[in-house]
Amino acid sequence: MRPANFDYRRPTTVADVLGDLASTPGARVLAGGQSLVPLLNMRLVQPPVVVDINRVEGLDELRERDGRLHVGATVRQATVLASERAQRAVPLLVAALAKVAHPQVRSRGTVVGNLCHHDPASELPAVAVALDAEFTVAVQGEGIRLIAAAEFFGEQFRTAVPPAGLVTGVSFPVAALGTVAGFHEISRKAKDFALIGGAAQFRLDTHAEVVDARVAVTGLGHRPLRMTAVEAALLGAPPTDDALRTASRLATGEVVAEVNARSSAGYRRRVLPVVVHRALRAAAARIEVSA
Amino acid sequence: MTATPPVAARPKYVGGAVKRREDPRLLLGRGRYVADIHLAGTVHMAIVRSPHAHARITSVDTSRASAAPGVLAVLTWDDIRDQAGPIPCIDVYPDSIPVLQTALADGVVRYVGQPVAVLVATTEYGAEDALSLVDVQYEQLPAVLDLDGATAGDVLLHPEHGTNVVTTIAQDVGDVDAAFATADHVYEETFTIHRYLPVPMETRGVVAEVDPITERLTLTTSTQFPHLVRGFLAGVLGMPESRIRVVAPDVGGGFGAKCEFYCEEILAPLLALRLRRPVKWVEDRREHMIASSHAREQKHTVRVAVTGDGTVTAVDARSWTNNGAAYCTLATTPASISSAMLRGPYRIPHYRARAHSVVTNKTPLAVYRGAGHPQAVLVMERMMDIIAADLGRDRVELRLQNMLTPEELPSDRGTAIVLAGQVVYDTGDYGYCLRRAAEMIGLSPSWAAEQEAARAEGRYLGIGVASLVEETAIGPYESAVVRVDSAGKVTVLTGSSPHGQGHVTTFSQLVADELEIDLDDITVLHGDTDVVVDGVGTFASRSAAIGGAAARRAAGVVKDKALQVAAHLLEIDVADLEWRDGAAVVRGMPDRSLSLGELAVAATAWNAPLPGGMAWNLEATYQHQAAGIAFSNATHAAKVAVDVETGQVEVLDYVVVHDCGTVINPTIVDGQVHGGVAQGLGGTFFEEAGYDADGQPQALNLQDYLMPTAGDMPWIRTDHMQSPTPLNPYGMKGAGEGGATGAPGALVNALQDALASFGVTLASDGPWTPERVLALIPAEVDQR
Ligand SMILES: Cc1cc2nc3c(=O)[nH]c(=O)nc-3n(C[C@H](O)[C@H](O)[C@H](O)COP(=O)(O)OP(=O)(O)OC[C@H]3O[C@@H](n4cnc5c(N)ncnc54)[C@H](O)[C@@H]3O)c2cc1C
Repeated sequence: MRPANFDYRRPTTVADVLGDLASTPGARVLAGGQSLVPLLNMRLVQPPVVVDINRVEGLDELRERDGRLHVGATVRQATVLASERAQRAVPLLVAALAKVAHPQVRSRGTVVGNLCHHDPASELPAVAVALDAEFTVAVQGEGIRLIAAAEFFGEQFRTAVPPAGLVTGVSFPVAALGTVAGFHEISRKAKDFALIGGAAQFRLDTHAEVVDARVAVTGLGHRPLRMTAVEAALLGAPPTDDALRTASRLATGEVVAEVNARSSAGYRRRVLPVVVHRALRAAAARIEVSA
Repeated sequence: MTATPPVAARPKYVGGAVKRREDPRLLLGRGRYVADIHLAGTVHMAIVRSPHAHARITSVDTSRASAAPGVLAVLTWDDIRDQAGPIPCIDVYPDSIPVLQTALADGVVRYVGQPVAVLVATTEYGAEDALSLVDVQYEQLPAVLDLDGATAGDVLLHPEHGTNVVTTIAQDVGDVDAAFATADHVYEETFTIHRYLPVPMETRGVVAEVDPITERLTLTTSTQFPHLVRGFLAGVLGMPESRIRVVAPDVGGGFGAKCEFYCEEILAPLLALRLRRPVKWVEDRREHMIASSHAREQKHTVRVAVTGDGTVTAVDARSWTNNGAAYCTLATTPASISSAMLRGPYRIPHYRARAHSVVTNKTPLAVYRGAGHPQAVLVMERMMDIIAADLGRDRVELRLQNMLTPEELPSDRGTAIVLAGQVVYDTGDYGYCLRRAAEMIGLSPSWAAEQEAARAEGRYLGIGVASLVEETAIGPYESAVVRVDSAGKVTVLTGSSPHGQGHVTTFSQLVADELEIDLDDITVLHGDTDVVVDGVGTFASRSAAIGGAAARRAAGVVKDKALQVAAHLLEIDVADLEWRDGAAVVRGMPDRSLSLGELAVAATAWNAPLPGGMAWNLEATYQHQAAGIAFSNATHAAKVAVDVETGQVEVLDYVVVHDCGTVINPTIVDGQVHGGVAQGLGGTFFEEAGYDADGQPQALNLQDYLMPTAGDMPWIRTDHMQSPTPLNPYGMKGAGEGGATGAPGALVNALQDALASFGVTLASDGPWTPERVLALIPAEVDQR
């Protein structure tokens, strides 16, 4: 459990990061290190160069702009979790972060690093997919481009970030007034990775009926799945527990047995509606609070 | 007679919740573990381990590794076969088949992780880099992993023996066949107990160093028994013990995994002797999961004879322990304890057990907190619930009916435990602990109605109890030296080397009370065979009862001698002196006294020798010998809630009513119970050392091998009952293992109670993951 040899760089500008990444094929970005360092120690990855982005200026911003909350590449999970602005703007992200690891890990781990790592059991990719998050990706000589969450997540542990690419940040749409959100997961023990997790968010219109429902589930297969049938079933009706439960029964999606093998495909299939229902229920429980 | 003014009794330390004296240093990060030892010129050892469960080694080519930068030596079995004997096993039976491991594989590897070659480099990174340069060719052999397959014997680990069943232990009490012939009910069940690991927070590690002048070897190792390691190493290397010093520095937990003598404890000394440089190795977690001893895995088939009134008259038990690929230092102890102790607190006059130790292509298995007790308790306590349910009897009442009462003790149980001896229960009130635990957890006549009401609301609650009697405080002996210096300060040397138990605190309490001095005047030293010349170690919940008794007796001898010295100095009869507040005081004349320090000075005064050839110095060595086994007892009670939609189990409440004889320090005893319960809970719900069909281990890190954390623990409520043992003058029994021993039985019984309405009969200790629990629940249940 000692890493193989690698060169370590700690640039202070995005341009230098991109230069370092471009100059050595296979170079890896180091953010919070909570996933990368164990991989290095177990020699599951052996990059020739590790580019530490923690001293890069401007990547640690958490701010609202043009109706979106922008989370820079070095913003810690703990920072977002503790941020009242984030709680107001993207309550689903905060609800999910409360389930990510424990405080020691969250105080180093970043939101962006978590998404780039793309563990198929991680909570945050489900949030990104549910909310149509947008990633800002920079590559030397190619400028900056935006990648939508729907295109971002590849097979497990893979993303659409090109080689030598740096994700400088991710943005989420700011929730409209009256939006409620909930995250529910089943894990083998407290604070462990999810066997399966559901992210749910919706808003009530003036008739107290559901609009803009968003539901996604993590842990089933390579990437988080939107539960479009559930979303559709919720629309236009009051979110009674019966309505939530009935809608949850429409949750389906391909379960890939060998992905997230902490539990069998059969188990995940069986509890899928339960997780969706409970995520919705957690969201509904916040209705009074936000009204 | 003049009345002496009453002197306020000095408060006793024993029985008080004294704060642990070792904690400030440890909590401030000032521990010194093996990894913290940095000797000048240290070189680093790394081990090439088998990637196969069973294979013949066809060739080992070390040339590329030897040529790698910084690599100083690469050794294979051929290089050391003449220098290192096999690893001893100390608990074999006379007819055990010897299946001993060697420090490096002798041509055949029998489990993933077995050491095949060893190398040393100038840096630990260089050593790890060089591992992949050792070219080992294997010819794979079929592997056998499970007990049934290994017992069938189609694949043999050691073909020369013709069987994989390497030890069979027999326990025979009464007339079992006659009891079954007259039984009204016979119950039969087979239980599986899965494999899991002690997983101490600190992994193992060694530093071996040879003094260039004296040629003496010092092995610093994270062990529970440095004195035994000294003896083993001397034997394996053919070296006199006088040339070996073994040091156990701070040890970050052991739980049985470090109550073993390992390959690395041979390899590092061999390399240090060759290279004449300190050789260091610290096990990483991945290695730990395959190279440190595993535990628990057993299968039990029991038949139980019961008469119409609920009297359990006989048990006929067979068990198989999956010992992995070879004997450990303590290999048959789990099977021995399970078979000797299966009946627990119950009378059951007729008993037969055959306990088989079986070799398979898994990591060798040894003792782990509770050794064979948790398995036995699970089996017996599940059976009591099964019988109660079938007979429509109250679970507590049925147990009480069959339990030994205090009046029936001592009770010779007719069984024996390897290394420990005859099982003769000494003292205890088992029924009290059960009744009290049942009352505390709320297992009252109204429980069934409460449970029914909760179920109507979709909440599946269960309560389980498990009563246990546990072998503790085994011998053969422990040594102690108590020495007083001229300042009146006291040094205690103990051969019982701690790894988290708090010996410094509890031994100080015992000695402080004996000498009537302050705790701060006492220093306790341990864990270095040059400082403490004689000792046994810390395991089997023995330290307080055996080592603590030795320390207090040694202090008593010192006190007696101090009184003699005082009598000589004061020229009065010793009978006219009494010991008070750390001084010899003339009876009725409190001003005329001599302090411990003054007496120590007198005992070393060259110009005024003590009379009658009395030995110099205020010092005594005492060896406390165990005259028998002290048996602790407890009842655990757990209350759980099962989420029938997801299979998740929440432990709502947990109670332990515990009797370990005289309690020296209730905080420490509670801590021992809490830690043990955490490990039992971990084994019941999370921890599993799984293997795939080819013998590849499935849990190589703590992401895959789940340990309980604070967030998973219930609030544990304890109550203490004290039935002192007559086996030492102070009444202490062992407290170290009862927590782990009772938890699986209580938790599985609680789960059973919660799920009983689904018609299930749980016959395994788990781990009860959400998935396994949900599989017991029909799918319609969540379609409310
Ligand atoms: C004990 C423990 C428990 C955990 N539990 C959970 C859990 O329950 N749920 C969960 O979701 N996660 C969990 N994690 C993972 C944790 O959330 C990590 O912080 C996260 O996965 C990675 O974030 P990081 O900032 O540490 O990234 P790093 O480890 O530094 O990097 C992760 C990967 O992303 C790449 N990367 C990082 N930043 C960028 C960037 N800006 N551009 C391009 N590539 C980048 C790296 O090269 C690397 O491949 C746990 C971790 C630990 C140690």
